[in-house]
Amino acid sequence: MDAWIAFARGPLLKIALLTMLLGLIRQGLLQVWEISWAFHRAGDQVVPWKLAIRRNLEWLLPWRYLRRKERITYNFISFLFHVGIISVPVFLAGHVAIWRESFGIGWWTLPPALADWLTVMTVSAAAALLLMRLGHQASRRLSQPQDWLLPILCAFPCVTGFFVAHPFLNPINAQVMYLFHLLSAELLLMIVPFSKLVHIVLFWVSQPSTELGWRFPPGSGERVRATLGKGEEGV
Amino acid sequence: MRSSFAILNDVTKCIGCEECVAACQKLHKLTPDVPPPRIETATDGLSSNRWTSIIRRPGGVFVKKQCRHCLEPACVSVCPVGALQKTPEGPVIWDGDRCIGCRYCMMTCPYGVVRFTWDLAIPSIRKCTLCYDKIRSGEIDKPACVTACPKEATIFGTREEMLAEAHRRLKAEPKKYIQHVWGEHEVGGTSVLYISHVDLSFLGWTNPEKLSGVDLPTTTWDVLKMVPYEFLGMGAVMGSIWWVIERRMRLQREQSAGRLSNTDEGEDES
Amino acid sequence: MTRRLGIFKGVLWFLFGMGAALIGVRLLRGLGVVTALSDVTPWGLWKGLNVFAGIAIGAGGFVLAAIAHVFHGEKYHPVARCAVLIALCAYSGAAISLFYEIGMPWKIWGPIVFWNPHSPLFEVAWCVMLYLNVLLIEFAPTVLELTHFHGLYRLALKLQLPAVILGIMISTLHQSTLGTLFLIMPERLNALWYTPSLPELFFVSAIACGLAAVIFVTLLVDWLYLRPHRIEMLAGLARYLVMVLSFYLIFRLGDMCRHGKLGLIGRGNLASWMFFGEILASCLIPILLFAASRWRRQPWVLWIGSSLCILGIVFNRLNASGIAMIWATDSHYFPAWTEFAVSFGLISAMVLAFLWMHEHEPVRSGLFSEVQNLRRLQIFQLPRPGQPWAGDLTFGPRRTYSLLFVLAAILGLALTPWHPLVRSTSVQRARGKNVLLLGYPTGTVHFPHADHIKRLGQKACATCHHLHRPGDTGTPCSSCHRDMYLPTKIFHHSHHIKVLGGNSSCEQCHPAGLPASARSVRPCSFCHRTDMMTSNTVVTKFDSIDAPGYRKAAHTLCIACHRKEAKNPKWKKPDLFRCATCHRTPVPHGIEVLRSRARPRTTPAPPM
Repeated sequence: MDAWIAFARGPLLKIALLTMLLGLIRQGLLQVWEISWAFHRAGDQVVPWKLAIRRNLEWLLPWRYLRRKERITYNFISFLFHVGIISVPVFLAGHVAIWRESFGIGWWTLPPALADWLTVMTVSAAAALLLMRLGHQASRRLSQPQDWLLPILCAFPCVTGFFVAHPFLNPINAQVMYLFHLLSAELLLMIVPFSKLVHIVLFWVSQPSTELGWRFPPGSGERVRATLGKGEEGV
Repeated sequence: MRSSFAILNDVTKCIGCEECVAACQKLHKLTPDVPPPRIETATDGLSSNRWTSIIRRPGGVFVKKQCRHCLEPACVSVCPVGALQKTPEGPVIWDGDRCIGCRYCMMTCPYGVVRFTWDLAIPSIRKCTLCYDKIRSGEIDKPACVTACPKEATIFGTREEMLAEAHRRLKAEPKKYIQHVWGEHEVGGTSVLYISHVDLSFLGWTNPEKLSGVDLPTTTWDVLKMVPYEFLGMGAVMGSIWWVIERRMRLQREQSAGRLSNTDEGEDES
Repeated sequence: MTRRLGIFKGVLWFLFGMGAALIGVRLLRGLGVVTALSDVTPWGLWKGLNVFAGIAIGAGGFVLAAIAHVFHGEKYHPVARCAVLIALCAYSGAAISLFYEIGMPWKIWGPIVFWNPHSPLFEVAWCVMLYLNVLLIEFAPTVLELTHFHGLYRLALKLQLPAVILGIMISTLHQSTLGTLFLIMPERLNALWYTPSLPELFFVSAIACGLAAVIFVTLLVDWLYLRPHRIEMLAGLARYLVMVLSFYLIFRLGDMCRHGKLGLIGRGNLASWMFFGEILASCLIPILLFAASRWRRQPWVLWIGSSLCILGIVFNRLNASGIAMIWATDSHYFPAWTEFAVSFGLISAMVLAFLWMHEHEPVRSGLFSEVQNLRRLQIFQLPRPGQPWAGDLTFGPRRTYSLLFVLAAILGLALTPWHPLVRSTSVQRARGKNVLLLGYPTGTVHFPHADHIKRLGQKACATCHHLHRPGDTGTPCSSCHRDMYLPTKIFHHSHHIKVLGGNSSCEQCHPAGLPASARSVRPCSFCHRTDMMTSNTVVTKFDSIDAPGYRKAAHTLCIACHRKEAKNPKWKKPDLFRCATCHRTPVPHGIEVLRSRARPRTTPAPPM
């Protein structure tokens, strides 16, 4: 068991972190490249960058979409989920201790009790999001397999982490649970650049690309279709 | 302050106590307990933290190895930035700030003495300097290894004195020693001399082409000093070939066309 | 994009990714982490393959420039342009690999400021630097004819001929000086390779290698882009190659004859086989293949001949710069996998750069009129504002290549050791009453156990046996100090959990309320002080889960005690603390008194 944990803490963690970091950098660069290429070819090159940046910032804060009337509960729960899934791994005292030990850098930490409640909140928010997706006909139809899988994958490290932090509630062997925590978290890190979780970095370019999308010359869709040789069928 | 620095090692007197190694490491503030340097290690025990070492040979023979401070040092002549310098007194010193880490000096040293700090992200070459800086500043009056030797197996003086002493000892006890002063003539002579009762050729690389009396820097300088002539000669040859062929082609064209034409376009296309 | 080109580029991107990641590791952590180089073998694969062989491959640039421009070989103009690009890529590769190969990349400008004209490497550095600039001037028309800078373009065309001649002059110097580099190592380089004519041999073989490389690359590019082979032109180059190679062969063998070394070839040892293989691949087979004018018009003959010639001359450079020195230095250097990855990664990057330039510039045509036709057709023009968005057709490959690049980089970074490799050396347990340690570099240590007991008495046992396994009273040093040099972990987490009663026992070591990390844990002596630690003067506490390496542990203990005991008038041994007291070659010697009582290795050493 020690060997497995050592492997999960050592090489596997390194691979997972590297995969996430390099994968995200790759996605970011590709996106910037493609947007600049699109901009280069766009008919109208007057793009309201300021507006795009402002929208980006607005989407970071909840009130913009909370003001929208449709699916307000879903949006609110989604906000809570994001708060939990970002703050708990980054500011948990145990995680910061690892940073301190391995790199000598550390930062402010969450009080343990607050971290516990945030974890509970995140897990329940993930469950609620899944249920609401199941209950809403339009979202159900639009969903891909990864949309069902990702909330579960996000919640799994939280659940296992909670049990690692509270050994007396832990139903199984503490070391096995710790290994599960490590493996699930590493799996999550590794799939980030290859799933919808890539919005961690692509979030920043979504608004500019939307703005650009409106500015292609009229009829360019047909030209794309012609170039791709698709004829009359949908692209 | 002496006019020249030299060391005479009497192999018969060395008891292998390694006091010289310890003293050297202490004076130059080298890490005494280094991990074994690399997968492959020089068998002589020198490393970037051991500028002198004791080689143990069969039969209880101990040979102190260190930089030989050649009179015509190969390392000095090949350093592309002149980070190695031959001082007027004899010691070959290095400047870690100027070294770029090309390791050419390590390749050329006939005794394989120069070492490199492989495990550092900001590396440098290192080797024995015969304590040149410390002696010049008056901090010590002879190298640390010489001072530390309890048996006077290593003595310090000018090269003339040391050579005279070596020959005196060879003459005094001809049966004890092999009648040869190692370092008197090899690679043009070295400042660190040896007298011994065993063959010391293992101190250098063991190629069939043994070290001769010729100093190494001339081997490359004989070629390099021709560089300006080669450079200009090649230019002249190429230029004249171009001119001859160009002229011949132009004449040919003029003949065949029977008229004068502007050949500049032909050139442009090339 | 053809299928073969896609696969070819995919492989190159993968190799490039791994190489790039490892170059990053090398720049951050130093040479010792990613290379197997040592003080005995300070130059390795990077210098041999990427610098020396790379520059030889790039020689095609000046050779073809000479043929096309100076000797007015008009039919070689298209391939001359390609050759200049090959040279540009090869020399850039050599410069980049020199950058990370030298110990301090940020000082690579050194030779510009600090001059040492006596150094061949100084001359090579200057020549490579100058020649790269000359190559840029030679290559400038190719780029400029696509732009609207007509004035610059005309200027570049005017500079063409002087640049070509200057390039030939510089190339002559540094191609031969690469041979001069090894003239100063007669005692290192094997006699089959060492000769005073090394500079001339290097120059001639570089011409051959450059020609072969141009043939090979032209074949490769035509194959990749599904174009017909330009056999006539290549056959012409192959003819020149035969002449150069024949001259090289005669020159080399004649030189050996002059120095009376021909007999060395027939020795039948590894060196002679290597030499024979080199001659066979670089000269004999290509000469035979290309000699007949009908044969050298067969594409497969051109493929085999040119690639063998390149391989042979690359092998020559590797031999001269390292392999042929293994007999003199008794070296066991074999490049680490990371060195291979970096070398091939850099080559891949340069090939990719070459292909990119090849796709984006009319390198292949080289004729001005043809380029102007292309310009009229606007094939090479970038899209202008207002042109329709026609979909980015390279979208797919870019995603694939970047993915391959990133995956290779991750793989490279994950597999690289981030710390210098330290050889792990297991420690022998004391057998009987002696410890035999095969220590580096100071020889074997004999530890007379019985003698120590006799002199120091039973009370002193705790000095060395300062920590025991539970229920044991004489645990040997080697059960904790298990490696000669590396610290050993002596704490078993799962064992403690099992023994202390499962998960409920955590708080016995990890104080409640603190995160359970190695930092906050209670020291081992919290529990183990009473039952396992014995009173000891050297090891006063046991708070670390790392036992130091045997060497460090033994030195700490033995030297401290020996220093003290050397002053003890009882023993009359003032030299007790000197290294030679313990470190000896198999037969005890060195101290006059002991020499007469020399005994075989396995018996206890005489009392000190």
